[in-house]
Parts: sequence; C-alpha cells; structure tokens
Amino acid sequence: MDKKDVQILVVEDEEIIRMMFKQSFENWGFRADAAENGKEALEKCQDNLYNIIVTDLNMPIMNGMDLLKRIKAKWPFIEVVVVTGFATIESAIEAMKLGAHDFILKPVNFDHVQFTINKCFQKIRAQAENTELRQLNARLKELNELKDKFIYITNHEIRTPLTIIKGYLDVLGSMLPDPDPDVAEVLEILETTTDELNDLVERMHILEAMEQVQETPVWQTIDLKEVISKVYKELGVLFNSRKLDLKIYVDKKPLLLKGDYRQIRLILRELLQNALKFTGDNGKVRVRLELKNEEIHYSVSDTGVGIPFEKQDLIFERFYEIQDVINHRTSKKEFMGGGMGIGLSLVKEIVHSMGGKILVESEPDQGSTFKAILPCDPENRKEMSFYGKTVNTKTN
Amino acid sequence: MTIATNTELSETQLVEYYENLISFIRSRLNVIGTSVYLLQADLPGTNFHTHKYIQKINEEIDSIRKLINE
Repeated sequence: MDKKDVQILVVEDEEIIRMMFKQSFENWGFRADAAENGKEALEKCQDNLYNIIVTDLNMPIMNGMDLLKRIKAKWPFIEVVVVTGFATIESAIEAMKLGAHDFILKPVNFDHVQFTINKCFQKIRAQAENTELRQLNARLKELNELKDKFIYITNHEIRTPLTIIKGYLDVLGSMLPDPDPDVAEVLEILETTTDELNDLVERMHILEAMEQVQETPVWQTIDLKEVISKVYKELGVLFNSRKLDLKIYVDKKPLLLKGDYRQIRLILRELLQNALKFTGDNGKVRVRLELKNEEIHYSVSDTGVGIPFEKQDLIFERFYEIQDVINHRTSKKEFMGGGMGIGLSLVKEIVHSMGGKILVESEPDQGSTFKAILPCDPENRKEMSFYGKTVNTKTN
Repeated sequence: MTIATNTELSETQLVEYYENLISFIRSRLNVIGTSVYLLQADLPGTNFHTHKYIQKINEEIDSIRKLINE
C-alpha cells in the first residue's frame, strides 16, 4: 500500500484551514477530499472509501465528536484524527477514548500534522499487510492441502489401477502376436499413453519422497521385517511382470530400528526400485536384511547394467539422470523410465542424517550392490566400520 | 511436462500447474478409453478372454476417472 492508495477526508468549517489541510495532504502524496461539517462528511462517506478522517471538533450542524461516534459505529476501520484548540484538550482525550487515532492541537503545526498522518498511514499499511498475510496464509494452507491430496491420489490411488491396466494390455498384446496394422497402432498408442501416466505417478512419488525428507522426522521403533514386507507387496508385481528373479533374505533375529517410518520405508523402497529400473528382464535381484553389531545391513544386489567406477559418486547427486548415460540396451521403456535421478540422493541424505552409511559396489554389465548400514539406535551409535566403496558424505 | 517444487512457483502458477496435471491425466484417460474402444471394434472375433480383459481395463479407467473428478 502506497500513500496514493490512501484517501483522507478533511472536515473543517473554516474554508482556509480546510483548503490548507487538503493541499498539504496532497503535497505529501495522499489523495484528499474535504467537507465543511459532520453531516456533509457522513454523506461523503456513503459514496467514498476513506482511510483517514481529519476532523475539527467544533463545527456547526454536526460537531466532530458526533461525527467520530457515527464513523466508528458504521466504519470502524476508518482512522479518525481530531483537531482541537488547547482549551478543549479534555474533548480530545474523550475522542481518543471513543476510538480516535490521535489529536492535533490548534494552532496547527504542519510538521506535527505530517508526523501524525504518517503514523496513521503506517498503522493502516501494517493492518492491510496483516490482513493480506492472513489471507495469503489461508490460501497457502488450502493450496498445500490441494497439493497433498493431488500427490496422494496420483501416487497411491492411481498407481494400482494403472498397473492393472498395463498388465491387461500386456496380456492382450501377447494374445495378438501378429496384429493387423490398425490394431498394432492402437496397441502402440495404449502403451505410450499408459507409460506417460505411469511416468506422472512416478514423478508424484518422487515429490512426496522429497517432502518426507524435508519434514521433521518422527522417531519411533520400527520393525523392518514389516516394512520390507509392505515394500514387497507394492513392488513384487512389477518384478513378476518383468520376470525378474527376486529373492529377499531376512535375518531370523528381530530387526528393530529407531527412525522415522516414512524415511525408512523410502530407503528400502528406493534401493529395491533402483534394482528394478536397472536390471534387464529375466535378471536376478537379491535383497538381504540383517542385524550385525547393533547395525542393520540392508543390501540390494542385481545383475543389471552396473555403474562405471567414475560415475559411482554421481549417482547419489540430485537430478543426475544416469538413465541417459547407461540405460539398459534391451529396452528403455521396460525400465519404468529413468525417473528424475533423485531417489538415491534422498536415500543418501536420510542414511547420513541417521548417522549411517551407504555403499555401492558395481561393475558395468555385471550388476550392482547397494548397501545401507543403519545404527539400530542412531542416538547411541557406536563407531561404524565398513567395507566397499563408501559414498562421499557431503550433502547436496 | 516438467515438474517443480512449491518454492519455485507462485500461487497462481501452482494452481495452474495442478490444473494442468489434472488436465494431462484426463486427456490421457480419454486417449486410453477411446483406444480401448477402437481395439475392441478392430479385434476380429473377440473371444471371451479378450472381452473380459477389455472390460477390466474399462473398469480401471472408470475408477481413475472417478478419483480425478472428485
């Protein structure tokens, strides 16, 4: 809000003083209007939106005090400044009690008037900003809820029907090994379009994952056997559809860990999904979840494309799109697209925030092993020892 | 289609962004629905299994449509 947005009404029966006030306000950058008594001022208020009224107290027809009462009753947001002679200072005090912003004593000192009006302007501007901020906050809250709902729907609710559609389309495709051109074209469109939707769902999953990492973790004791079982339920069908040989070995000992459930789930899911993305059809994926020296060792080995040694640190950098560099030669689309190259960086951030380590061993065309080592109780962890290539610990 | 985080978008852009995403999903669903219809019409001598699979696909498309329209 600028001064030019503020409209001041001067109410004064003496024309010369009225004009002096009006001219001064305009010179200081405000918009100004004038009325010669309280009655005229009220009439003007019906038709105009004033922010400040500067009124004399002693006027014929309707005096300033009556005007103040009526203004505050009908337009409480209008700031009123009263102008009074020293002899009526008690009236000025009474006016303040009735809600006047301030008072100006006669004879008028225009430096004082300017100071008072500027103070009033600052108050109005602060109120406007507060209102604007409150509205903005409410709007942001609404948008945030909308965004959460959208991400939830796309990430969770659409994923399953989409997987089913894709599955049936694959079956239909396999039932038609040599379709005529029209059918082949329709099948191609169906495949491309479902892939596009799958890509969107994947992106929403990444957005949700990014937010989970940014949120304050809620620490609790987590049963990792339960988590890996849920992750398997989500991804198992995709491994089957790709004819990947997935085996999960879980320690017989209890696998309990203190951490944030969503973050732990993200670690387990992302590493497994990474193997799914970068292992060709009919490949092998082995998952191990073990307890060793009060640490959880979670490893995912695959017979996938592997990663050149010099790229092994880069894959943990955000938005490093490794799929452009080393996508599997057999078929890109069967690898769920490359994603945004953010899953592994999130895993690294979470693992490090828990005082753990993430390791990778890989050979191009042979496969990769990713291992996350997490202290069971991050608050009381021991010094950890490792093997393999450790990932650079600096965060993004 | 690009993706961005909240901090990169103004309020208006954010609303527009989600509207575009919804519109993207709707248009792709329409494409899938129409293609499935054409597939059914083009398939010679549709057997019981084909018919069943196409019916299932249509059911899933409907379930996504309902979600998007909510």
